[in-house]
Amino acid sequence: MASLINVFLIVVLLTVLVPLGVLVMISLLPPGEWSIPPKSPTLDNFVYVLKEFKFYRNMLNTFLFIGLAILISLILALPTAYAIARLQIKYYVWVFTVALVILVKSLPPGSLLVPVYELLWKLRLTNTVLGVALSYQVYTLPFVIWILTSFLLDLPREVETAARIDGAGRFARLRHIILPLSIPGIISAVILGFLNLWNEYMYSSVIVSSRNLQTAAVVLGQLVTSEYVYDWGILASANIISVLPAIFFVSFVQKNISKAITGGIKG
Amino acid sequence: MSSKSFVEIIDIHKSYGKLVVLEGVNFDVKKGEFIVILGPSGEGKTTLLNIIAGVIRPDKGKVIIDGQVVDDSSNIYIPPERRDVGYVFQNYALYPHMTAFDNIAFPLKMKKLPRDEIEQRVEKIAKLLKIDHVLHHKPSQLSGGQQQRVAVARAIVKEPKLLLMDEPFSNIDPALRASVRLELRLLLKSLGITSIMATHDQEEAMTLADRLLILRRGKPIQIGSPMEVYEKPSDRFVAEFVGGMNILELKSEYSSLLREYRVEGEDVSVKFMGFRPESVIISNEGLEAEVLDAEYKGDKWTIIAQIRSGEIIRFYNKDPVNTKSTVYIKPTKIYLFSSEGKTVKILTINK
Repeated sequence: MASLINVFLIVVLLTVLVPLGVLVMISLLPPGEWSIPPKSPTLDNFVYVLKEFKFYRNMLNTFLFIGLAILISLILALPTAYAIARLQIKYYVWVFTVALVILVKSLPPGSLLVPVYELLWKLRLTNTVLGVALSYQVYTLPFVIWILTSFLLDLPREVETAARIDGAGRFARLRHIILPLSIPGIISAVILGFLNLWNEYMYSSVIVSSRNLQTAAVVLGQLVTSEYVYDWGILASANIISVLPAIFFVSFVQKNISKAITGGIKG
Repeated sequence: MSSKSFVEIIDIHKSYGKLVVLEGVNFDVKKGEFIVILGPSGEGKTTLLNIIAGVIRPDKGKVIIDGQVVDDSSNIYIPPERRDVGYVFQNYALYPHMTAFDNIAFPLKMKKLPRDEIEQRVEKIAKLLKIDHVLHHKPSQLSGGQQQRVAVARAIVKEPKLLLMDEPFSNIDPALRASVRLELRLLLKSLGITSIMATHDQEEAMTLADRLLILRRGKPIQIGSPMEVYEKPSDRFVAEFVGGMNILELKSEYSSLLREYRVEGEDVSVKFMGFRPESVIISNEGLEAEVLDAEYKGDKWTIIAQIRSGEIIRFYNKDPVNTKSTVYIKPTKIYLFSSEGKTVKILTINK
């Protein structure tokens, strides 16, 4: 049984590693060469992407948009999740909120593109960092509410009752008890949010038109349909650069998240 | 200690749907008194404590703490955060992300006391409870006993008007319980804190309480000092629950025994007879019983025997008795109960 699982895992691993390996080899090809593996490997493509093409700027944009989007989501989602999980709100309000979260979470994001764009345009927020971050709420807000609600439902109620008896009002409880205990949940929301949105294309390409605010994913997409279309080496190296932060992010944060989860709620 | 009541619980009713949890609970607590609510598990003890703390609201009734109506089950409701009570939870409910120090300091921080006063008071209470060496540990790094002390310290550091405790000893190693109990009682007495504790352990209740409140099916069936409750149980249930009384259905075969107590046979209201294990002597006459087992208890033996009618009784004897032998026993003090279980008469004979 164990060996069968191993075989399965190896197959899954190969489906990721083989294309990635090919991509690496393509990125090392000098212009005009088509042999795999490359006969005279060069880093020129990477130098071009970073220096001339200034691809790091687009990656910074991606970081900025996602970071701001998740921050906005967390600020809105924590009280919402707390209300759903704990407060004695009216039943129909509860049902309505939960139904709305599920609905938005299960809608195809594209279906909201036009109304969201129209709203942002009226608010003069198209082509701004805030605008993109707000449009990303379509993805992040229901999802963060979802994660935090299930997390808060698992917190022992008595800890909160203890805080009430110790004299903590609603906001003091949220600040001193609920927020610190939710940190593992918040960390998982941040990680999953970054991974989900790293390759987001639709909203960022529609809401931003100026070159210096475009995200990495949008630029990569344009490479395919632009003047650079024949230069596979550049396309591949840009792709690799855009994948690197995600790999670092996951491998670095994963250790901390498991620590945070096991250390955080143990009584 | 003034005789005026400090806490008054008036006619508390609470039900969840069709399930009636509390039905007409009345009692009062004097300042500095230690009241223990005793009852089997799931009989509304925790609900009652939560109503006093303000976590749950009663359907009917009033709660008065220090002359202030904190809940009248309609318009008046003071939430727990403004009631100034301490609460020790059964599972302690310590804040897992804070050190022991921060746990204990939390109620003081909520009162917005100056930092150095908080430190002073936390250290003082930690010394009293002998946890000053673990103040920088998180709850997960503390032993069960230390966690309990932190929970007690957190509950009393703000010098609450009233301390509530829900089975505070149930998670403590049985070997340590007696000493922890004594320490806690002495500490609360020296600080003069008015306390209400809930427990299902009658031994714990007897040793700690100034007065006991016996709760059964959401109704208080007896309130009194441990001695009163033990000596004069109000009914069969209390007699069995506190101190374990042998209770037998009255039959004609006991008539000769009962004649010694000068009980009239025609007294039809009497249905059951009971006697405590320690008020039994082995004699030449009396109840015939076959000894099933004898347990060594150090200063005495507990004899388990079966009487003629098939009922099992237990009593204490200084010396062991051979199993399977037949003995005649005579209770020196008997309790007579009516068919509803109410105590009708308590009779003693000279040994």
